[in-house]
Amino acid sequence: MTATTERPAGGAAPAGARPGAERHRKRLRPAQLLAPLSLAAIVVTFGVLSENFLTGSNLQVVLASSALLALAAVAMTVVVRAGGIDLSVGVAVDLGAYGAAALVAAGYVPWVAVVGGLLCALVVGAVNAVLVTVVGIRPFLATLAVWLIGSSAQQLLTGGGAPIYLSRGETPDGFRVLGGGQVLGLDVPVAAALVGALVVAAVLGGTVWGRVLTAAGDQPSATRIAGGAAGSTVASAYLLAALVAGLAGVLLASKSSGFVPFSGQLYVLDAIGAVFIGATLSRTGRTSVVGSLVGVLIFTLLSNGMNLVALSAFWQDLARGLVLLAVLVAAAVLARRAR
Amino acid sequence: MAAEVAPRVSLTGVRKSFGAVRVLDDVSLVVAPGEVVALVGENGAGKSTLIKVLTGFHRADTAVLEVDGRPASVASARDAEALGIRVVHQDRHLAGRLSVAEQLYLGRDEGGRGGLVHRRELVRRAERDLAASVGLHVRGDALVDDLTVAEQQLLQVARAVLTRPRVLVLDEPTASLAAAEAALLFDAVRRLAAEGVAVVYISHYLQEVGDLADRVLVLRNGRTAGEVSLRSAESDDDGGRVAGAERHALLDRVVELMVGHQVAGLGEREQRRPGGEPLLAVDGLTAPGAFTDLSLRVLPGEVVGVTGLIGSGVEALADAVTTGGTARGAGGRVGLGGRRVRSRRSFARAGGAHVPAQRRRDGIVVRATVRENIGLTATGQVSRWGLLLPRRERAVAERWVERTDVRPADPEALAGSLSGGNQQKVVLAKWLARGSRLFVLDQPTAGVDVASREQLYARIEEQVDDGAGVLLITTDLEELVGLADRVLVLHRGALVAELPRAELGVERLLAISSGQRAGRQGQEVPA
Repeated sequence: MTATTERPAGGAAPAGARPGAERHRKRLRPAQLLAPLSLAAIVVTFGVLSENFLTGSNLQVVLASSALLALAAVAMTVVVRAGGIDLSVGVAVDLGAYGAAALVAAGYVPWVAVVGGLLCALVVGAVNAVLVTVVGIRPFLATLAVWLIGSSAQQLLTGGGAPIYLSRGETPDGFRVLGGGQVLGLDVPVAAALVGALVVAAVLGGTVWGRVLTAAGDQPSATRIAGGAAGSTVASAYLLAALVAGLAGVLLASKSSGFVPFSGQLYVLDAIGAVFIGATLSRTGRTSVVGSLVGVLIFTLLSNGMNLVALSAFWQDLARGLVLLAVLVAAAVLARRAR
Repeated sequence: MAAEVAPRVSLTGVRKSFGAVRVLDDVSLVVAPGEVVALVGENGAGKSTLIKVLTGFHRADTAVLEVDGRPASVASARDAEALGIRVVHQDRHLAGRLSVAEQLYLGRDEGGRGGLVHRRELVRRAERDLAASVGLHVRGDALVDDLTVAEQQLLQVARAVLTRPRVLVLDEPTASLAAAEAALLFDAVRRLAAEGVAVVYISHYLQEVGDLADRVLVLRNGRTAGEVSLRSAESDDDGGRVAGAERHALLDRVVELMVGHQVAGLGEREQRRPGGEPLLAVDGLTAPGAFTDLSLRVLPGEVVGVTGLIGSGVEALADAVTTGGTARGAGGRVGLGGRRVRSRRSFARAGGAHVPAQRRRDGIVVRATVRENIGLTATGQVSRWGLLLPRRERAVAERWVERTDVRPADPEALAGSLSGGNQQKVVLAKWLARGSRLFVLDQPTAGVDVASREQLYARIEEQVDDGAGVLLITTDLEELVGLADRVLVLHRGALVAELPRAELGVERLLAISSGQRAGRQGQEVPA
């Protein structure tokens, strides 16, 4: 037998750079620039096409109209980062809005309405968490089922889909301010979205929980073997997402003075699109709060610009679809070429 | 036609750069029909890149390819296949939910009429083909997922062999195979070579190379470091290959070429004197379908080796120990440092480290950086109250990257971008950083280059000298002989032997694990 003579003495590996060593250097890949460049292109295009686009008041409108989508996208970011997807995020928004509106209509004080709304939304997260991590259903299917059930539940709760309207008189100021007030010169929903985004970003990037969540999203078995609590962390991701979406719902209830069934559903697909546009910002395709916000801005600025140039609504989804596709296709092509 | 037979495949003057880094510089690979050429070199030497050029995955900056004397070009895997160039990769590219038969014939027209496949017929044919091509006996309707790693590997080889290739490239095919299964593979390779197939064999196991290859091509740092012929003009034995001391000397020459300098042998190690309360106490451990009622102890300062063939149950041991026998259908009791192991988490908390066999799936998070991988496990060292301390994390990562000599020495490199040996260093580093005291190492050096292997051993031995315990589960018998203080042998789900260090020997271990000794004569690996 050749025995151990084939092995060099410990640490005797050849010194000096090996080929390939520099490949690992952290450097920006072209694909990472796609989303920011698209954003810039949209700003420039509509800035040229419409003189009203790059004005302070219009940008305020853009921010205000992106706040709720931003929260939904932040919620989606958490779940996608944990290796899942949440089709029921709109249901969480709706239940948050329903809970808050119903409690206000029943005469409860604002903070009870807010907490009640958030708890309603958390139910959605809890069901998702159990289905995905305990029962072991794939996130896409589990949250699809919850979405369907949640849609039906809204109709049953509102007697066939009748909206709840809150009249000015019966709405306490403390609740109205959530959707219509200002804080530090920002609309309250915008400020809430910023705070929510910051908190989630900090939790994802700066805590052990976020580290385990990210790892579990990629490789659950490696995470468990590494000593991480993969299951409970992924479960809590669904709860956090529902909470953030519920916050969007509460703000929506205040903003729209009531609850209109299914209004949260509008955010689901845009949120998914924004999250995956944002993932191109990372060299490994990891979702991030910052990236998702870039994606949200792309969508919102695009819609806003198209409205300003009076593009028919029939064309708008087409345009958004094309932008989403363009970013993702370009990212895929660049990734292939980098091989 | 020229009098001399044209090489089956001739790939010459290969240059390839990634960005500014030249990874291949004027490398040539020429293989005659029926010749077995071993391609060796440390991780990062350029072996994989060369093969990827040959198979059209990478486009070389310059290269000349001829097949059977005719100019050819490959721009894609399909081109390579059309030329009869087949590769069996190190990582198994299998679709786990297919049956063995489906996987075996995947992508090939094995049609009954009208695209319909006669399922039962296919299953039987798969069983015959597997037995004939690589000597693998498994059910054709079993799921690929349910095969062991070694069986999957053989299935992969069979897949390539059945396409009747003209050039067959085997990339580390025995990394997960025990000696007896590797022998099946060697037989298959020799048969193919006898039929005129040109074989390129990539391996870290030089002994295999010596047993199999006609010629050894050594790469180092992207260049040809040298060639060593193992054929002998005088000898007619073993297909005219050199043997004995002469072969030994030639292989020593190969190692020198690989590392670029003369190497010293690993000296005989002293017998350690472990003592104290057992670190790891396994009692009556049962893993369904693998082994039953297994008990063992690991003392502080001791390396306990466990080995066995496929089907002996060794593959399931690491998981059973690190989960404390809590999987469904499992049973028994695992104590670590006096605490009962009830989950992977409690295993880690009690000071256990698990270096798993499936490195890319279970060992590292490939899309995370080296720093993040280390921080994920060494949470106690890099966080407080659940908050990560970035500066501390960076310092811990840098320290352990340096101590385990991860290359490149960059904590921000993506773990998945490292070579196999360096990935394994990261796996070990994260547990060392956590301060683990009991290491369960499952096939720790499969697919790891010689130099990295030596470094891994050195780190492990330091820990053991410092009072840590190691449960070393491996089919690499030389590794066991070199490292273990005593070795337990599993056969058909039961412990059949325990050998102290003084009685260890590769041939003896092989004989026992294959059932030739210890009262279980003539038993084959379960079919």
